[in-house]
Amino acid sequence: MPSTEELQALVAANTWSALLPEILLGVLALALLAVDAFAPRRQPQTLLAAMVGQAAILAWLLFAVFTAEAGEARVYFAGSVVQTALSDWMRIFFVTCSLFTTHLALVYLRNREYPRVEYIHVSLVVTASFMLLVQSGNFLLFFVALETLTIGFYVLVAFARTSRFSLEAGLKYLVMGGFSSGILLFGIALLYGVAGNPLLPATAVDPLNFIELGAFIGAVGIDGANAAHPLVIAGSLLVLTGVLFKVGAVPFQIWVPDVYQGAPTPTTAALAVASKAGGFFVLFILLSGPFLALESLLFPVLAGVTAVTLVFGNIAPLGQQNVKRIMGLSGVAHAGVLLLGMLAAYQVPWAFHAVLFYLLVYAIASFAVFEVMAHLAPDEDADQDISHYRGLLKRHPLLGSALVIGLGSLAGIPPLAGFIAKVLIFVAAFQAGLYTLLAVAILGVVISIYYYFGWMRAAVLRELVDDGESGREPLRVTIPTKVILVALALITVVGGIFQAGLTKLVGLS
Amino acid sequence: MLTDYLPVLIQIGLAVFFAVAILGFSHLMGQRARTNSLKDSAYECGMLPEGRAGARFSVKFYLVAMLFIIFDIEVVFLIPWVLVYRDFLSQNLPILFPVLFFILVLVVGLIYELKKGVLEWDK
Amino acid sequence: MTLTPVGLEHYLFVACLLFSIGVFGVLLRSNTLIILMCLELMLSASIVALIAFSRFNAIEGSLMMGGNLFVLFIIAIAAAEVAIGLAIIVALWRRQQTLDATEITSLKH
Repeated sequence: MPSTEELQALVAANTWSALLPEILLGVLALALLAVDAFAPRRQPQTLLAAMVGQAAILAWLLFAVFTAEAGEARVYFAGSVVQTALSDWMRIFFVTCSLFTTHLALVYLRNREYPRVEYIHVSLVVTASFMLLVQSGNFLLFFVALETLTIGFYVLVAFARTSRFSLEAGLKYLVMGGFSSGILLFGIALLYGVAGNPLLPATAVDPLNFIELGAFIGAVGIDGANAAHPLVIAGSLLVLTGVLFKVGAVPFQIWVPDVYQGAPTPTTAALAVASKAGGFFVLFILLSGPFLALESLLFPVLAGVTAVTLVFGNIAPLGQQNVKRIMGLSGVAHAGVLLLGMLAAYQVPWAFHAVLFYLLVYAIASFAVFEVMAHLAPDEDADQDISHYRGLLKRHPLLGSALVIGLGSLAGIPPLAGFIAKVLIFVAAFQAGLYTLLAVAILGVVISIYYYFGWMRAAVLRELVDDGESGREPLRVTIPTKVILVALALITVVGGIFQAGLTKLVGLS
Repeated sequence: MLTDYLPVLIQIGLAVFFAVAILGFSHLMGQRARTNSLKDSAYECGMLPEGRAGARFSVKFYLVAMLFIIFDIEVVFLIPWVLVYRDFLSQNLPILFPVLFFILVLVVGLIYELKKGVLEWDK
Repeated sequence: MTLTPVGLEHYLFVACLLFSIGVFGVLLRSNTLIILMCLELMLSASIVALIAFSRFNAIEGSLMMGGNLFVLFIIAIAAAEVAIGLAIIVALWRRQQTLDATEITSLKH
């Protein structure tokens, strides 16, 4: 039984106010369910309230970040929660993603017979877990947050419950996600055991804590460094495998194309953007925290993964006709570029900021593309073909140009923001001396322009063919959607020409 | 020490021995029984058996089972809470309301289920 | 007959065994229900390992309760995963009348 003082210190560390945005998101999610249960008729108002609530939380977070003076990391809950400037940035990122996902969901669910409020509910819970994940300071919160969001995603992927594609994607994601979680957890258990071993030097009192675990792995005893202990090596590799599964790096990418295709479009967008960003931030936390002393072990492993990811991600989408699969497979290629940035971050301090910048630009461009996809999707959401995009620019100039700008940014075509993002990561990799990987990455970009161009060509050059089957009813684009599309496209174009504004956001000068 | 478990091992050994011995002896010594399809069929109060043994469960069982799992697991978090409840109270530390909030979340879920009619058996 | 007392390595052996059964079950079995069970086995393996480490690493003054606490959360997470998994499987069964993972292949292009 701990003493009174210890207990009081523990309770005093529970600064709930530090997590108020997450708590409010959770309360908002619960309130949506309650309102929907008692007043199912008032759904439009409920959905509007969900949007307004998220926007309010976002505004408050922005206000809190810009008024707070920059300083040390804030530690709460006895080391479980560690808030830094970067994690605050990621929290804002996730709430923004959540807003876009909500909007996409409203577009997607407009003509479909699925429950709406429930989708928003799960999506809000997932967002709150993402926000907790990026500020976790020990493996307990880390795992619980990661699993909460993964389980939420199982629901979101299988949400179209009358579509066999969606259900199948849900099952595949469940099996692969559960598999990777099992591997990750076993790694955590091994690390917990070895770091708590009283016979080894620098035993950790709380081995789940990232800082203590890092100190343990970095310690060197009489019998050799802890970093060379077989359990440390096995545990860290298992944890790394689990995280690489989530970001979809080769050889753990097998789930990506099927799940991206089968999932409803808003879920695909959330998986592509939020899930990838969360995965990379977690990778950063782990590599720069507990696994810092394992560089000589993990660097070659990650370099190998990066190389195959870059090669696979750029070759696999060639000849692919389904646009959701293209987004998934090219997402693997983007993961490869981001991994390259993570590797460079070992030597170049600003490289991780370049990764964040890339994530930001990737998110903006992806949401523009997904907005267009949500509008063009046929009734069976999984069958989105390049041929549906024929003559889009003539049919609806706004959607067409947003698509072209978004795809151009993803491909990294010069005046757009995506180009700057790629260049920044490549410069970081050059400074870090990763010449071989850099060559592979640049080759990959050249290939990627080819398949993105195939999609763009369908939208721009091809004539509208009236084959009767691909429903040619006029597209319904509401005014808020138009505003969002114009804003996303503008940021992409302007951000590419005057990049200082965007780079400052992520702490790059 | 493992030697403490020796009686258990002996018990297991005896059980296996008797099972094997009884079946083996009756197989060796006993008469061959006549077999036919009527004799091999399951005995249901003298009636002819109907349907297959592996009868399908209604999907509703799965639904209720899933809901049961979710609410069953909350106890996992309440047991440690009960264990430290008195210690915390005696030192004027907040313990009741955090857990009440936890329960509230579950209750909202339960109300939602009731309102959506998930628990109505014949719908 | 000399018997060694049950030590950490025995528990870890069981944990590794459970983990391997789980991994190979997921990779090799084709019935989705059994795959779901194997996923749970992998989590159980970690539970055994965590509890064993907690028990055997505890010394005077350092009780190592973290692992025990972790296990409670894993149990809850495993239950949630099973609930969602069963829900998806029931929905798939209604739609397709099969639980064989080798037959659930509509997503292939």
